[in-house]
Amino acid sequence: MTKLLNSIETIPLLSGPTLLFVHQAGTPRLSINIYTKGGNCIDYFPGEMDVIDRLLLKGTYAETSEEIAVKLDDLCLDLDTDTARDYSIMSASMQAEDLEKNLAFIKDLLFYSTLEGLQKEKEKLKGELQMSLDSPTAVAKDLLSRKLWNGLPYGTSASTMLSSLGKLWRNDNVFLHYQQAYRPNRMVISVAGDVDRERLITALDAAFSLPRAKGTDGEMEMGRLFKEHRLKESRIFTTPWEEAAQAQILQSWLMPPATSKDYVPLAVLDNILGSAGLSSRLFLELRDKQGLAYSVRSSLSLLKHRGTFTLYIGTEPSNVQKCLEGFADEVKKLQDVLVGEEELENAKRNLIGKRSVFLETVGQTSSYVGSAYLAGHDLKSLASLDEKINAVTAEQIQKVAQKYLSKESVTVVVAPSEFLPKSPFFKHSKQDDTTTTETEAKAKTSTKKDDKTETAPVAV
Amino acid sequence: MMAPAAPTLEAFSLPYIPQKAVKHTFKNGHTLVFVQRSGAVFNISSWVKTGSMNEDEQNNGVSHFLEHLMFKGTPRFEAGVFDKKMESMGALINAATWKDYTFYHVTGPNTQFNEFDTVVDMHADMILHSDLPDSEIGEAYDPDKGETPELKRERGVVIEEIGLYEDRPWTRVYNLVNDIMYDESHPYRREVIGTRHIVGTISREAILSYYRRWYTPENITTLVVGDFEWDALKEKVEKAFNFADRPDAKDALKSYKEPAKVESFVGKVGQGERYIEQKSEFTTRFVTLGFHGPLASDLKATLALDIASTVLGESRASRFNQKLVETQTPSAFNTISTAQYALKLGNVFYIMANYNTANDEAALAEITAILDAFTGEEPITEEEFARTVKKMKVDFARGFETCSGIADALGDALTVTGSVEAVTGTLERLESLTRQDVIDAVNTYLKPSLAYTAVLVPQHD
Repeated sequence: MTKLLNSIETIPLLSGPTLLFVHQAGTPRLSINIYTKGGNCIDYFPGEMDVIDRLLLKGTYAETSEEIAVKLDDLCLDLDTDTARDYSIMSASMQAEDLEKNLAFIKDLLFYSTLEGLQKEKEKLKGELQMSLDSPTAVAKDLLSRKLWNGLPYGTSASTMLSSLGKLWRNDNVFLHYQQAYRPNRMVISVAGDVDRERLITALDAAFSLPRAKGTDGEMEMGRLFKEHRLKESRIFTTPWEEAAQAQILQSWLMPPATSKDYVPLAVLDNILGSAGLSSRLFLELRDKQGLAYSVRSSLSLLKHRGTFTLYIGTEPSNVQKCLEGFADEVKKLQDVLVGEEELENAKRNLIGKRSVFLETVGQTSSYVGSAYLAGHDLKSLASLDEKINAVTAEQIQKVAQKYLSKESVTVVVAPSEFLPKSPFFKHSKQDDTTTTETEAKAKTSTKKDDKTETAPVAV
Repeated sequence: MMAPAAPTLEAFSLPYIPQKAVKHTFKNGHTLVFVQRSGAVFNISSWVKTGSMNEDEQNNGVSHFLEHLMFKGTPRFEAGVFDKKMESMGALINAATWKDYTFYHVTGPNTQFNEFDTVVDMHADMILHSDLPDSEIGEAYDPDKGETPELKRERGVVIEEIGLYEDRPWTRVYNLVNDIMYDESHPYRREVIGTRHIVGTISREAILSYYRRWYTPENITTLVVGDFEWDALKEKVEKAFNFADRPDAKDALKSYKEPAKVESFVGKVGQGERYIEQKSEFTTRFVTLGFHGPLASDLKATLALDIASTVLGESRASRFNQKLVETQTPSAFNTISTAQYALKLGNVFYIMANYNTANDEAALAEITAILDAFTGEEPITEEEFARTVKKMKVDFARGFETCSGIADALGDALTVTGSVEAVTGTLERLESLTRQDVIDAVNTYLKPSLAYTAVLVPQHD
């Protein structure tokens, strides 16, 4: 795997995009991910880029939506579009022999879409978003995202998109935004597979050479806004879901960007606490020992501007308080007690070994390389990541636990009304008096917010 | 007592794999399948020919509960040691239970730590010698009576899993339609996960008895996909899966019998209501139409219905998607798709849709009209047939990109159909199948009058 990652080439194409190429011999398929910088961060209205990326497959000057759908099947070209926080992506999987033919088709889709189906696509997206919110888990994640980012574009969610879809009514505005965003110099193309390097470069240059001016993405301004973003206080937000068999509980802290020097210690901490699988601390304590949940985990997501660290559990509604205390106990242990040698070693080996398993296909490789580059990672450092993981100490883990997990957090609970926490502030029954008093004092100053229970976004 | 069979060795070719694969049955009846594949990853899995199909009203859910408890230690390795050891190598470990089977798998890095011997040893130990301690099962309690012990242990975990699925609309509507598709004596009628009451109260003895009855050598197939040498691997697996070491292996062999006989359940389909509706807190409407299909071992008819499924609802160009979602303005449908589940006692074909209109009758009529045309005046066209065959060949190839993809396809084929032919002959069958074969299968199994329909509707309509 190290050899594979050492072979990543970063090639500036004459046509504008940056090519990230990993040659993987003996693989029958070729994976090409085309990233357009910006994503939700350049939305004029939440979800605008999501609508645009869907419209790319809904008609060009040469082909109708139905013709495109049939052609994708005819070409055996797996093609999908999506918009993430920092980029929009068109991912393609194809036979290497069809490279030129498929890139000509992709060029038409990327740069010559008519976007004529805007109203229809809005209606479809609205329906899909409503359907996606027909789930207590989705509603909890949606609420968390909004409360954590408080209006910043990383907080774009199904419900914020539903609220803003009505504002996307001018075809010409959306079309202008599309033309500004989808420019070759704003694109990064990640390719993994068995294809001749020169042939690939020639084919990509042919597909991405356009008479279109260069574009900018306002990254400087966005970076400042994210850097200054803080949570004012730790709060619990709730949404009632009367029929729910399980309470959905999420607790999340803001994290530094992906380029932070704390990235690797945080990844090891995440592994130990809740992402290793069946042997993580949360799993052992809250699932194996107490039988409180089927799903319990932590996840670390470090993006270009900032990141999040999130704990999740789905549990029988009467267990809400017990689970919140369980989260607090495990976080406190990480802050107070150094991780043992064996546990630390196991976590490192898990992280290193899993990378091989997750880079088995060309699709996984090109996605890994592309998203790492877009998050700001130096690609050369990917190959030496194993060494960095091995160098992490128990003291570093304790330090990042104290540094980041002592700060304010957002907790969300979706459950039947009678089981929702009554106070918006978490009270830990095992905490000492000083801490409890402080929590209560905060509560007193915010009495008006006590009953601030969110209306289910499904009703929007 | 059954006489030990002579060991058998069978080599077979797999598409996209240069070396022949091997299927070897040991003297005790345990089968090993090996696929040589270079690369950085290996997969080992053991497939047991039992699932909810072998349960009854008293132990419904035991297959799945047992699957959880198999991770709770053996006399050699206490609970948690297997998980910790595997995950410290970077391996992914998990298991799954279905109507027809239960399987356990480990996917890990080949070259990172060179500990494959340990993996085989511990995986086999888990399959053969799990001791299901009471301390891990947890004390019995009946959630239906509001009982809650201090520590719920694994009973609590599985009961939480039941809750997880109850909150998922697609699972709920699937369970609703499943309930009316079979008569009460059919083993597929029960839900794989079981009930809160049974999981909360079933005794260790009942679980152990089920374990000993079905986890016999003849009932288990172990698959290894990775970069290994056959002779050494065979020796390693034979030594590790030494069923003779199991305290009551002889009794297990005596009590061994074939899982439910296929023939005895053919035609035992639901004869009562064909429509069921349930109120829910969801705001959109979820519908699933189910149709009984051919036996999974009828490979030709199964493939023909797979082609029909792709044409009807598995791609952007599919009929349902184009007619109900893409071109209709305004459209009530948010999504609609189709799928076929290949099952030992008879496949099931599903149409799954989500829509917003309160007029369920109109929505269902739209689905039925398209299906009616497909089974009548507008059958699959030559163009659709050719395009779909080509697409399915590519999709089939994609399954060979990962070790776990290869192992899962073979494990499923061997357990459900009893042969690797369902995998090895797919490309040839795609070549020889005709458009008329698809039309025949569609007309046999997918007539609208054969549908069972379940709808989840918002309670505040």
